Amino acid sequence: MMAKLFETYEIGSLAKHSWRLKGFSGAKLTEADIAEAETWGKRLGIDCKPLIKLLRGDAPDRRQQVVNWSALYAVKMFERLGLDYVYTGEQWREEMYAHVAKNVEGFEFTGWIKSFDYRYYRKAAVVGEVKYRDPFYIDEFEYIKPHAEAELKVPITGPYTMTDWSFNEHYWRKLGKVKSLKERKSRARRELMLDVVDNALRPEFEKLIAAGTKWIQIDEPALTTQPTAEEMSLFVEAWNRLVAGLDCRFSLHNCYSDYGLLARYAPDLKKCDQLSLEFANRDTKAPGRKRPAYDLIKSFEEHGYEGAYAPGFVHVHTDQIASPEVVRDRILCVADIAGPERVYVAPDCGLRTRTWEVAYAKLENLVKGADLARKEAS
Amino acid sequence: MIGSSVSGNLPRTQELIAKTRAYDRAKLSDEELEAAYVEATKRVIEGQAKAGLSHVNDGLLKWQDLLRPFSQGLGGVEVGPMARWFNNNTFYKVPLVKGPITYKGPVTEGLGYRRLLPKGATLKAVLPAPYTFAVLATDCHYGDASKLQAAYAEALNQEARHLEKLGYGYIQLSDPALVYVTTKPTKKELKAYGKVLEVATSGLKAKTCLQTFFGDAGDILPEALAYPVSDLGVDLYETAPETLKGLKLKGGLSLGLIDARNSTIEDAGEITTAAKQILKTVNPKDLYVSTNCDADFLTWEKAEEKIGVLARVAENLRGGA
Repeated sequence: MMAKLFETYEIGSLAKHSWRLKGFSGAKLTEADIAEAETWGKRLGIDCKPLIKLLRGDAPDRRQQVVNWSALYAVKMFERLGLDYVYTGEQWREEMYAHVAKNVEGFEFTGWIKSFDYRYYRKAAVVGEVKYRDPFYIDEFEYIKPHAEAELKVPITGPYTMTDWSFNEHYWRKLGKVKSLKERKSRARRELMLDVVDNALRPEFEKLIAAGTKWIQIDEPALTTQPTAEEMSLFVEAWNRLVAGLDCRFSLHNCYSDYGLLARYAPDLKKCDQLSLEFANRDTKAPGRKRPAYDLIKSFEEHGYEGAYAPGFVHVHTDQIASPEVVRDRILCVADIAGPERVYVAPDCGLRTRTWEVAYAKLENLVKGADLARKEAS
Repeated sequence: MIGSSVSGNLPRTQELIAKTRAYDRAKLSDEELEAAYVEATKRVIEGQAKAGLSHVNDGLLKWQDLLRPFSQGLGGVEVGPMARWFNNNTFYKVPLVKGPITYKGPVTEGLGYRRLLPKGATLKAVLPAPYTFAVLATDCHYGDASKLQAAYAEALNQEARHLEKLGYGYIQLSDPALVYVTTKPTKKELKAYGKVLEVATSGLKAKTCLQTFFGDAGDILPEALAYPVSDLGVDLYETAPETLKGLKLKGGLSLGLIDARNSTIEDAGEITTAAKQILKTVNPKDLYVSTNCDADFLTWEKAEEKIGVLARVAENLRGGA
C-alpha cells in the first residue's frame, strides 16, 4: 500500500541541452551554450562552476564528464519540482533503442530508414546471436545513485521493442530448414526476442538489482504495433521470462497504442506492478471529473488487471501547459475508476521533444495537480 | 511469362536522405534538393535495369507516403494528421475527405521521373487501391465507405488512364488494408469490392495487379479471384503457401517472395525452391517474382541486393534451374 496517495514521477527522456550535445560531440560551444548551463545551474541550485570550467577546457575525459553533469541537471530538476521518483532524463543515452543496440553484441546499424516525410531513424540489423557485451544501464545508475535524494526508477527498453524495431537476419538464417516463409519469420522473431531477454536484458537487470535498483520501468512503445493474439502472447511470454525470479518492482510503459488490446493481456503480466500509459493526449482540456478519454481504464479493470495505473496526466507533444486543476480532475477521474490508492501521476511519455522550460512548466503543474487531488481525496 | 519487379516504392539513398534532412533544416535550396532527387532516382532505376527486372518503376522517392499525392492532388481531399502505417515503425498522413472527390488533373506525374525510365522494360506505376484509401481516410463527407470507395475509384481510373498514356504498361493497385488483420473487409464487402475495382480499371489496356501485403491473402480468397484485374499479388511472409494450393486462377500471380521488411539477403536457391513448391499446385497465366511490399523499409543498399536476388529467382524459374 502506498504511504502517500498520487505519487509522482517522470517517464524517462528529457531534451539534451546544446552544451550536452556539443560538449559530447566535440563541436565548438558558443557563449549562449555556456550561458544556458549557467542559467539552469543557478535555477536548480547546482554549483556549476566546475561544469563551466569543463566546457571551456579540453580535459581528456570531457565527454563523459559532460554526460555526468547533464544527468545531474536532470535529477536535480526533477527533485526541485518535487517528483517522488526521478532518474537521469536519459541524458546518458543516445536514444532509447540505439543505446541498447550499440552495446549488445549481435546488433549492427544498417543506415537511416524513413519514418515519415524527411524524418528518419537509425535501424539496426541483428546479424549474430544476441549476447551480453558491455554494461549499458548499470554505469548510469551507479553514477547517479549517490547524487539523488529522491527514489530512483530506472527506465529500460524492453525486448518487444528491441525486436520490433530491428531487422532480424541471424535468427532468420538459423531457421533455413523451415519451408514456409511465414512460419520461418514468426519463429525467428520469437527466438530473437527471447535471446534479447536471456542474453541482454536479464544479465543487466541482475546487475542493476544487485546495485540497489528498486524499480525498473520496462518501456515498450512498439507494443500492439502488431495487433494479433500471437504477437501479444509472445510479448507476455517475453515479459514473464524477463522478470521471473527477480526481486524488484516492475512497471510497463506503453504509449500511443491500442489499449483495448493491451487490456486483454495486461492481467497475464507477472509482477507488473503498474501500467504507465498515454491518456492526456486523448483527453480534452475541459474541467470536471467526467473524462471519457480515461474510460479505457475500465477495460483494464474488466479484464482483471490488479496493479496500479499512471495513465498520463500531461500531454507531451504540445507546448500548451495543462492547468493544475485539469491535472487534478484527470487524476480524480481515474481514482473514481480504480481507487485512489492505485493511481500514480506521470506525463504521457518522456519529454524529450519539449524544451527544458516547457518540460519544467508541465511537470510543475503535474505536481501541483497531484497536490490538489490529494487534498480533495483525503 | 515470368516477370520480376518490386511491389511498390524503393528507399531513398543515404545521400538523398542526408540532402532531405539538410533541406528540412533550410540548409539546402529547392534546386539542390531536386538535383539530389534526380541523382537518386537514376541510381534506383539503374539498379533495377542492371539486375534485369522485367518491370521497372522510378522508386517513388518523392512521395512522402502512398496516399499523400492523392490527399494533395484530388479535389475534396486534404492532408490530415499523422498515423501509423499498419504494423510498421513508419507513419503516413491521413487523407481528410471533406467534400466530393474530384479529379483535377494528373496527381502523380509531377512527383515522378517518367523521362528517366529506360526503354525496353515495362514501366510500372504504383497507386493506392480504393479499399485501402477509403479505410485509411477520415470521411467527413460521404458517410458511407462504399460511396467513398466508388468516388475515389473514379478519380483513380482517370489517373491510371493518364499514366497509361504516358507509357506505363503495368499498374499496381496497392491494397494492404484489404488483408490487414484489423482493417480487412467482411465477406459482403469483399464481394462488393469487385464492382469498385471495375470502375478503377475501366478502359485500361495496361495490365493491372491488385497487390496485397501486410496480411494473409487467404482471407480474401476465393472472392479476389473474380476481381477485374490481370494479376493478384500475395505477401508470402504473411500468407502460408498452403493457402494458394489448388487455386483456380484466371489471371497472373505476383509472389511476394523477397522480404522488403527484413534486411536479410535471401538465398536465391531457397527462394526458387519455395516458388516451385507453390507452382506445383497452381498455374498462373503470368508469374511475377516480387518483393512482398514496398521496399522503403530498407536501406537502398539492401534493397539493391534484394533486387538482384529476385532477378536471379525469376531467371531460375524461367530456366527451370
